[in-house]
Amino acid sequence: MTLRAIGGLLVYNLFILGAGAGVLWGVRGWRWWTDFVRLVGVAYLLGLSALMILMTSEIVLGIPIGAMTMVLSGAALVALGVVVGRLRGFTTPGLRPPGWRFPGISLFAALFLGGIVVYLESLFRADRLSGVALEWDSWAFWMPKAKELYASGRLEPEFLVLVQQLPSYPPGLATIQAGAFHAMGSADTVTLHVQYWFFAIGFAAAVIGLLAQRVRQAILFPLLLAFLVAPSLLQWITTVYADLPLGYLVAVAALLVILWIEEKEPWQLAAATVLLSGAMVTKREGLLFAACLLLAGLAASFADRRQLWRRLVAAVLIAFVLVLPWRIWFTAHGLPGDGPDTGYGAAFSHLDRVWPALELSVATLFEQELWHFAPVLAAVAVVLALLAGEWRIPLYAGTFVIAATVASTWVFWSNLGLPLTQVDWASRRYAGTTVLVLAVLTPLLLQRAWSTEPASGPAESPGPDALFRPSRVAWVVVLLAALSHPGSMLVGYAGSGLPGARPSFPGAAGCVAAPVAGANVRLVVGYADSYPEATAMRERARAAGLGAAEASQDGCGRLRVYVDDLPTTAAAQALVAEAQAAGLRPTVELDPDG
Amino acid sequence: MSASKVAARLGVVACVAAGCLLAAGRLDDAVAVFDFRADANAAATFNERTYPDIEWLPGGARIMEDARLWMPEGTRYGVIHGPGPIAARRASSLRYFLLVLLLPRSQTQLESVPWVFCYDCAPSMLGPEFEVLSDSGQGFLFARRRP
Repeated sequence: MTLRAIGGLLVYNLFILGAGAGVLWGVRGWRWWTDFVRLVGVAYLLGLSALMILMTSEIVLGIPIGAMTMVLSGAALVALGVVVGRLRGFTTPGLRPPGWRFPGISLFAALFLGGIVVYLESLFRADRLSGVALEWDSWAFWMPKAKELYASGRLEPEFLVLVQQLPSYPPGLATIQAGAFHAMGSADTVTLHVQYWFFAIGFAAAVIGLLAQRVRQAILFPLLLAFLVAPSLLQWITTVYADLPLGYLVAVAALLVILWIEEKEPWQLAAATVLLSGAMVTKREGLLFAACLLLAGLAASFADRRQLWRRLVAAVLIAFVLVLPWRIWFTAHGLPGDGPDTGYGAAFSHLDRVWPALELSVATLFEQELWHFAPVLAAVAVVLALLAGEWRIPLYAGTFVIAATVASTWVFWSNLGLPLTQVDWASRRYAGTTVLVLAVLTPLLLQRAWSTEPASGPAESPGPDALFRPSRVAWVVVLLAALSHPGSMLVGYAGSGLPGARPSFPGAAGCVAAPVAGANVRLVVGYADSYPEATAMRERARAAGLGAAEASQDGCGRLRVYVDDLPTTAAAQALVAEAQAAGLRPTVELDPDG
Repeated sequence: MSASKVAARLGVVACVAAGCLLAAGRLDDAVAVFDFRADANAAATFNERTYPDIEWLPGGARIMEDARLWMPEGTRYGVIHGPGPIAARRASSLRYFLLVLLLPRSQTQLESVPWVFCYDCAPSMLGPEFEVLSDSGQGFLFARRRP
């Protein structure tokens, strides 16, 4: 909750970005640093995935996951990337290509990009002091594993069977959470929510970076924001669950796969492979979504099947092989598998669940209260792209959605523990990944519906007027939007939806209140981090003549040793002198309940 | 340009317009939702952020926090319960809650356990060898074995 914890997370995420930059250099390289800036979100997600894969393998090998292991893992990824880059003949990048100019943005697009910035700023504020107490999966499943990794560096089978989550559940995200604890300096489950803010930024930056040169700004930014404000996304984006990280990885992998099918740049498939493997160690559904992507990719690349199919299948197989060590490990330790709770064959004894499961999957995907009309927009975009003569991306999106719906049906059919109702959160969370994939494909679909010619370089605006013509001046709008949120805090303005106060950083000392004239005060002998320490302090105080000294929780995670209910500061000062004479260093504070 | 392409372009304009309405119209809601959560989070105490509110365990957060502040990390504790099937069932859930919330402390079934939680208990049920350190007043106790 402190600035130090947030600062630690900032450094940690720069570290993840650095590791991802190493991976991106190995698979792609960049001639100009301006290219890297454009792909910084992709690099971040690559770093996240690669670290999860590597640290999961380290758990399997029995290597303790500590701060040093993580630093060395990141360094190893960078070193590997540099070596591969050198072998591939990548040269030191220049700052920017000749004649490069800072890209312009249209006033229209700037308004929506500004909206995305405000959204993310607001999300940061919601995340910063969020607790895990209201997030069942967080405190019951994810935090125990992350805390165990943080405390011992290991996830032993004996511990995993105690956690109610399936013992074979992939631990990739828990390793990242444990790393965040190391970076923050404690198992601060509150500030950990800010880590998910970084995930969201990485996702948005990756999508914008990949689509900015391929999709008109007037299409990209409004559509991306329309998906980001979906109610279900708002519900889950501040929880430290694994659903959204999984969705981010699968969605960006989906985008890279279709770009690879169209543009045939090998790095796009290589990056998608890493992201898909990362998805597989994030949640067990990652495997299912990878299969859905494979199917969609095979369908969309049918015309080039001799050239592309073998590589696509190989990529998904490699992604799977990278997570095999974990699967071998949990199988070797006799832990139950991550398949359906009925077992693979027994699901056929419950065929009565198939139709309700299908209904649930489809209804959840198009539920207006969960997503507004975003999936409907995606469906219309598929039709429009087909109408314009584009078949590849609509086929890809359509196949993915159908495959994901079939997979969802199978999940709810074969897991008897999952109720077949939307009231239960499972169906909403599963559908979230499909919707995120649609979020990244819809702008591309609409772009193709507008013009089937793939754009190269910055897309031109569709109209000549001031609203749509890109200019550098329009960045002022984005800047103003970015400043509006912190600005409202600084001036204390509490307008609609704005914070209206300066941020506080409640730490262990957050429960110390200065005395107020006319109100009761308390004499505080000191604060302690444990009862034995507090009890010793209390006994010293009593021995010094403060017979009414007590020790109790202060509300900020510490114990306060104090004398309560003093009517005036003067009365407290008399006791202060008494305590000081006994070598104590008391203070006078407000007694809010006195 | 063919009629289908013109229709597709008109559709794109309509879709972007719908997306704009959705994005612009709901951004205020999104910011308000985040803002509401931020205010609620800021007003919460350490215990409210850390310990879930368990309906059948009133005062449980205070007891668990007391236990965290009493027991050193790495120590072991036991969980026992009062008579009756409901107490037994809830104690089973309680064991899990304590396990995950009090990590890295761990549970044991050893009788010589130095720390103990008791659900649906009166202080007298623990016997003279235990000293009650925290009592919810509603049957949930935390105690330590007297030296």
